[in-house]
Amino acid sequence: MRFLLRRLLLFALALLGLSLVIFAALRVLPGDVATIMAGLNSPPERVAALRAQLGLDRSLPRQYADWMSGLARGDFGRSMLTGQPIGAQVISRAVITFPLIGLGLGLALLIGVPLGCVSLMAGSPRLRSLSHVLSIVGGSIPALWGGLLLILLLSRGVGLLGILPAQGFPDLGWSDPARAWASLVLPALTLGILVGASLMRYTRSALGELADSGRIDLARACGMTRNEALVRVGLRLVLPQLVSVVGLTFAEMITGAMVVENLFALPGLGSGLVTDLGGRDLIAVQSELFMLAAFFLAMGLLVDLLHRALDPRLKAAPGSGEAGA
Amino acid sequence: MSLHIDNLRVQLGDVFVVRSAGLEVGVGQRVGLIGPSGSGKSMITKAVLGMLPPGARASGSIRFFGQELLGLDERAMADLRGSYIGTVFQNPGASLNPVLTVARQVELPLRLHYRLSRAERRERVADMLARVGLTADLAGKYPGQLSGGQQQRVAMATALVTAPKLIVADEPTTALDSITQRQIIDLLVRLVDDTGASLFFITHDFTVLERACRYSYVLDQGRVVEHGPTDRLLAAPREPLTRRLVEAADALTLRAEDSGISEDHRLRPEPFLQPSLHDPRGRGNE
Repeated sequence: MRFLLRRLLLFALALLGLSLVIFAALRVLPGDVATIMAGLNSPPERVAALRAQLGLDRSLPRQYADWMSGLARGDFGRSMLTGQPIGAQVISRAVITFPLIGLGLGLALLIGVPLGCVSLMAGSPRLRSLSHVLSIVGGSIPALWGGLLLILLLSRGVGLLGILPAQGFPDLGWSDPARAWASLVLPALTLGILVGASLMRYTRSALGELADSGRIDLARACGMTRNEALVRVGLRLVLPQLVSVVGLTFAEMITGAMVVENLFALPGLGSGLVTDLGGRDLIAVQSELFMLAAFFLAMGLLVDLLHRALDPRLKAAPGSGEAGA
Repeated sequence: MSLHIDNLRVQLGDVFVVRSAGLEVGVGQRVGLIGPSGSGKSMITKAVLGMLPPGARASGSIRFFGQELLGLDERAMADLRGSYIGTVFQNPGASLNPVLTVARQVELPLRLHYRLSRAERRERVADMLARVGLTADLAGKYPGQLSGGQQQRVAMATALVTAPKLIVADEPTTALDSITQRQIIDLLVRLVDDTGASLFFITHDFTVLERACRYSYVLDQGRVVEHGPTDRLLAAPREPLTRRLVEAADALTLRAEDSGISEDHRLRPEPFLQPSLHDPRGRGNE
């Protein structure tokens, strides 16, 4: 319980620090937000009016306090580009990005962990080498190029097999779940291959270190085959570290999602952020960055809690019980 | 014959790590295999258990109650391990699964080899823990919460819970202090004798071997160079290596009269010291 409270406190402090960094990056760094948003050639009166409208003429502490109190109320302000509330805009984008990342992560785990095991345990040296080469190739292909290859191979219209939508998200959104998921398969596969290759290398390396350890020997001495011991004992032992690696890959997935959403014309958070940056809607960018940062921190918290739940060594205090044999 | 090894050769790449080794462990006997580091003891153990490293090749014969083990596939060997052959490794801290409680660790061979109800498993585990001298409250602890001696008792309980016919003990006391070593060996000997199992005890230390086994084989560079009753090997070693091992054990044996320190300065009474190998008073329970 104390651990949870301590982590929640750290989470809140980190969120506060990140909000300050994001706020300062857009306000304190050289360049006037109102001038940038209005356009560099706008007349001074328009810039002044925009500055007053956005509250940029107030003191920096006041601006920060206004922004934070708005966030606390769920009021993220309005987008300068679309005129929509930023909160609603972010949610409409997040319902595309988060399922995309979730599906991509699921595919990465499905690709990475089993292939990592195969590359270590396969009886055939050729199969081991093949899976090793796959991990190197998969991890070396940039998301943009990998996505293009998948479009050329699998998409309807231009692809060789023509079985999946090439681009876009259905107008009906999640009201048409079959088409919505289908539109996410190729982008998720692009992310999944990239991240799956990392997970595969990690799984192989972590299991490889354990393969000759006393823990695997004891499991075998109890009656498991080598492969059973590696899967049932080895994977369980590397699971806490694997969870941490998966948590870290979320950052990689978000970065990848920005590229992939633009490539597949998905109106998600990544492409929205690029659009808002291009349209100089810096107030929206500020809130979107803050939400992404909050999501990262929440994932970090979740990973820490999972890690602790999966590894009793972190909870168990050594030295209890009798002193000798 | 419980275990019969004949003309065993183990090859790692182009190197023979075991060359024509042969030994026998009779039913209910406790037999030791002693040799310095690199003599091939561990490879013989791994060959008996069918756990040779990938790429290693073994030839010759290893018979377990008449059944040839060399050439058995991994599944068949896994079926023998944990049910008919129990194993105690040298460093329990590095071999016990750190995410399993003591009870879950000890019941693992039962789960793998027998279809028992949860209650039956619990009963057997509780009985086994009591037999190795662990209190019931330790059943829910993790290995990291136990002392080295307690961990080795858990490892012995795991090896013996299915009442195997043969116990292979691969330097089971190496990671322990000298006092705990004696307790663990005495316990292992008692448990093995109680169950009627055979013991194949591997060590590099005659001090330890003397307490555990009546008969021993001396291994050097992959070959058995001498064998016989352990007390005969200690009293009249014929081979230079055996003599060196006996001398090394003697050197490790602390004797207050050799230390040059007055008895008045002793922190603990004499029974805490290692017995002299050649002193009949220190011959353990053999």
